[in-house]
Amino acid sequence: MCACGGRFIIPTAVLTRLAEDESIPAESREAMRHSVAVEESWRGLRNAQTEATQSSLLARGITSLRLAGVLASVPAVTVYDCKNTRSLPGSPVSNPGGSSDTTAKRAFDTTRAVIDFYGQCFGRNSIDDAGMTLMSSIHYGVRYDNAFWNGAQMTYGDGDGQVFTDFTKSDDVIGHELTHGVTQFTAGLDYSDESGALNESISDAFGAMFHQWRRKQTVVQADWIIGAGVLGPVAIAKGYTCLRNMAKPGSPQCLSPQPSQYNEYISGGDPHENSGIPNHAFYLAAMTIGGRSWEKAGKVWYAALTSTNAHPSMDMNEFATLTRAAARSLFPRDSDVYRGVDDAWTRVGIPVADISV
Amino acid sequence: MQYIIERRGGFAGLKASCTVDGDTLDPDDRETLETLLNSKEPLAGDPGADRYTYLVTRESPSGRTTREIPESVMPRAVASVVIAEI
Repeated sequence: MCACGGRFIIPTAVLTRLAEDESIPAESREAMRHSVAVEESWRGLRNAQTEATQSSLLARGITSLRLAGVLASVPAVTVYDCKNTRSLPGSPVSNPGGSSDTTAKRAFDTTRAVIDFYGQCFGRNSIDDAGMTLMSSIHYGVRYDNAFWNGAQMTYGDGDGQVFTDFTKSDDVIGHELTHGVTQFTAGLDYSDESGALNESISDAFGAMFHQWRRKQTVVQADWIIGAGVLGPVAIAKGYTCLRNMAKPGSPQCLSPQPSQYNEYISGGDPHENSGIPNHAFYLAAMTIGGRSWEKAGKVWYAALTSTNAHPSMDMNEFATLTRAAARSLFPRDSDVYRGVDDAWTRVGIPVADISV
Repeated sequence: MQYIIERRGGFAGLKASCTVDGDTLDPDDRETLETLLNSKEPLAGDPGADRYTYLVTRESPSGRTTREIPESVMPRAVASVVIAEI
């Protein structure tokens, strides 16, 4: 766990300079001024929240506010409607669970299910383990082909209707975005290089586990694909079946094929490219261990993510070492778990280096 | 002068790109783009995860300049011209 200094933002000096440039339309300049104010507010809020949480834990030598007895018992879930603007969070949706807007209802219901997943499988109370309210904004932008976590909330676009559809349609997408929040409040992984790839991979792994958990699937029954539900008709007509495939990261049926071996690591690559390597390691570990992914492999990955030895610039080798250590400590009488984890990392090109952590 | 624009990131990690002639851009958008490209400070990314980043390269007789521009300050009309590589 880290007391990281928060994430980067655009230099306010740049935004301020642009906002004062009279050659830029008044509407754009006003938006930039608004961005300066909003970004500073968000940054302050986000850093204060993250650092207060993590500092408190570190100072007390504990890894969970839940254990410190300061949690909210049931995290609240809120949904906001951007109404096809890019203004966050948008207008509040009253009673989103009963909304006639299927996107609002889906965002609400699935977010609630993610809370249940983390609570029941890992004993975690919301993304900060202290009952944090989970806020989602829907209908972001016009035909916006993306979903993202901005450090404080989830945001979902409607898709262009051709390559992508509504990003709330895949529950693994919602599990993925919320897991970015979990990572922020635990290892605080930097969003570049190997730590960035791990950050993305952890979101894919827990997103996939969440998808499987809702369907009570074994590792054999699971499809191990990410984002199948958000593909639009054009992508499907071209033969694509998913965004990523943890079983076959390089599959040509993926819109975004990835490397699966460490010797294929793309230096300077997007975290979404190199995440294929730890994604495949998780798949291999889960398949070798068997059963349901969240019962053993997932617990090992969660223990590594929340370990006091996890840190923001952690590389794949360090994370692999933490999972090997967790497999031994969590399942001392079940050596198949360690063997499954160790074999998985070895097969993606990260053999055992040091198990002393 | 032309701009080579590559979009990276996003949940999908699906790249999109295009090359545009500077003269075809809205003058205000072009001015914004030039200000961003000429910034002496590096433009750090948007907070969080799965955000888009635009890798913009300006090619002119005087040389090439490349800069990563986060989606929150990228002129939307310029961002919208990229075409996904599927």
